Amino acid sequence: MAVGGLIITCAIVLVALFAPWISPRSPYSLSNEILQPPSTRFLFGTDDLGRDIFSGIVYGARTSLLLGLLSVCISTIVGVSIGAVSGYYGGKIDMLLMRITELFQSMPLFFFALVLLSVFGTSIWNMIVVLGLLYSPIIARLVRAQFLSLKERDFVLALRGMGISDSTIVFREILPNASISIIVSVSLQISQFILIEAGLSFLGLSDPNVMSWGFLLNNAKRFLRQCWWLPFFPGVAITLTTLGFNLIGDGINDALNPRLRER
Amino acid sequence: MKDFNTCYCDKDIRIVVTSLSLFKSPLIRYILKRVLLSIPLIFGIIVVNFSIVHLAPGDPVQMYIGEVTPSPEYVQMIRERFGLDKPLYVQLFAYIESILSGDLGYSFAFAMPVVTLIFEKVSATILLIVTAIIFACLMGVTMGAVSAIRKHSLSDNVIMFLALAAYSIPQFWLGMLLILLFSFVFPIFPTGGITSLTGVTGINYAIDVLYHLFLPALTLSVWYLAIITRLTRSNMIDVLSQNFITLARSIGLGEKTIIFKHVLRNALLPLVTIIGANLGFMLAGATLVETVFSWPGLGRLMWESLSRRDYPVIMGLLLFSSIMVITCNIITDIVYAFIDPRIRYK
Repeated sequence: MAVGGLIITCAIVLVALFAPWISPRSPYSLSNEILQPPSTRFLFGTDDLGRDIFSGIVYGARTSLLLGLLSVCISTIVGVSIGAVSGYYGGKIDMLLMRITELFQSMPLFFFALVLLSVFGTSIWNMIVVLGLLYSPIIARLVRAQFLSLKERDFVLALRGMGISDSTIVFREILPNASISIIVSVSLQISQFILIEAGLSFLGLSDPNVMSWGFLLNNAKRFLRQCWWLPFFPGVAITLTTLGFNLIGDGINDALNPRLRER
Repeated sequence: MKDFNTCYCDKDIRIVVTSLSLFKSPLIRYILKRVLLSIPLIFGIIVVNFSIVHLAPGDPVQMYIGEVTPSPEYVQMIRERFGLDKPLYVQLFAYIESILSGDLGYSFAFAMPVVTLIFEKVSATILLIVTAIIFACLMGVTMGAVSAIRKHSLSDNVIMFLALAAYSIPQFWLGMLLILLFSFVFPIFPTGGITSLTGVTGINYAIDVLYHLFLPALTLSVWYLAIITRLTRSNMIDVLSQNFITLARSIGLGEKTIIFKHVLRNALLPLVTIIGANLGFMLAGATLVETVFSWPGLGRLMWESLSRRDYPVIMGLLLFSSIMVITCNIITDIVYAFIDPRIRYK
């Protein structure tokens, strides 16, 4: 199953990379053929301003993947740092950081993202930073739990007894052991971020200069009755991409996580 | 015959002694501890709201009014009330004071106070979310249990794949597809709203609401269904491999008894936590689903206010939904402590 996910995701990454060569025309170019169903000229049809949906999807792949990757980078870096410091040192730092992450876990993060984007503007960089920061406490908690359990293991005590510095222990010994869970959660988070970005764009908070799948779906709302192709293809694209990343995450989880219980 | 004064004193002391002895119960102590721990959380959320109001680009007055231009007297009154030309900590106190007195601002778009607006719409959202949760739990537990019992069989793999697919579908897209299929192609269900325009009352009103509720609740529950199915399956596999199940089988208890009386009870315990903890995500889904189906709840209110930049409503909704999430977390913890006695003694 993970292999299937890898195939799907690679296909989408390739489409995103080679977008200018794959798509027949620019996704922003308007034309006279408004609201046309799929045809040989416009593979997925056109929208109300004559834009080609197929090009929109191809270029939208770039946006979604870029956004997912960058947001996950931010949330992983921030989350792992907080979780590592909190889990390794414990004590007052741990308590303070955990109170802060608890605050983030007590609010509806989607609403918070909506408010932040509407207040600070809806550019793509805002979205990346907001999503990355808001969802980093989840990774922080995960990493902290891993650190708490790994910290007490014999090899760590031995290393400390040998006098090796804290940062070496953390980076060279503990993190590699925790990395499997981190990788799994990274993969699942990318898919969540793609869904969340689609949701935010659907509610109107998308960057007007950037083509994204959520933007296409937002446009489709008004013409739902007459033009089935307007929501259908972007939605399929989102589902396939999310499915791809979820399959990868699940596959890694099944393969590499120590499973002592399943017989 | 007792003296009247003595009777009164005895009853008084009895009430005091009874209520004091309640504190000995670990459950009550746990509840109190949980509630007290949440107060700094709520305070933190209010501070976060306040920071957003002041970190926003532009004049903070806009955040208290929204993007309309009311009369200058109103603007002046807001400035004085919240002390917008005074230092920040004075403003913070004014803000907290206004919230604690129940005033979340006034929405010019709807011409009513934000609090009234929120309480009008909250019941529709709660109806939607509760229906979705109930459906997702019933279906999810069933499918997860079937999947766990027939582990590694074809039905197990099919169910697991469907669950993963359900987890990957964007909820609002599913909603649009369902509208296309079941409202346009096969005109079974209405396309939106909570009631039709006919003014029916009584039982017909309830049936009308249910008729409108079906598609939105179904859409909202799909994502949850996936999570619950996977979780139930892994929990049940864990429980099924434990020693006491082998013991029950060797005693000769029937398979059905084992599953319903022993396995399910233990496996469903973590479900309570998951349901409570995911309420924040439910609100996100509810926003999207309500927008697609024009369901008049808090989610759609948020969407409308976002397009109008009606900041008092937006900030008020953020605060209210955070309090809702915290309350649900507390209730979940209490229910969990009630069911699993081990928690109370930690």
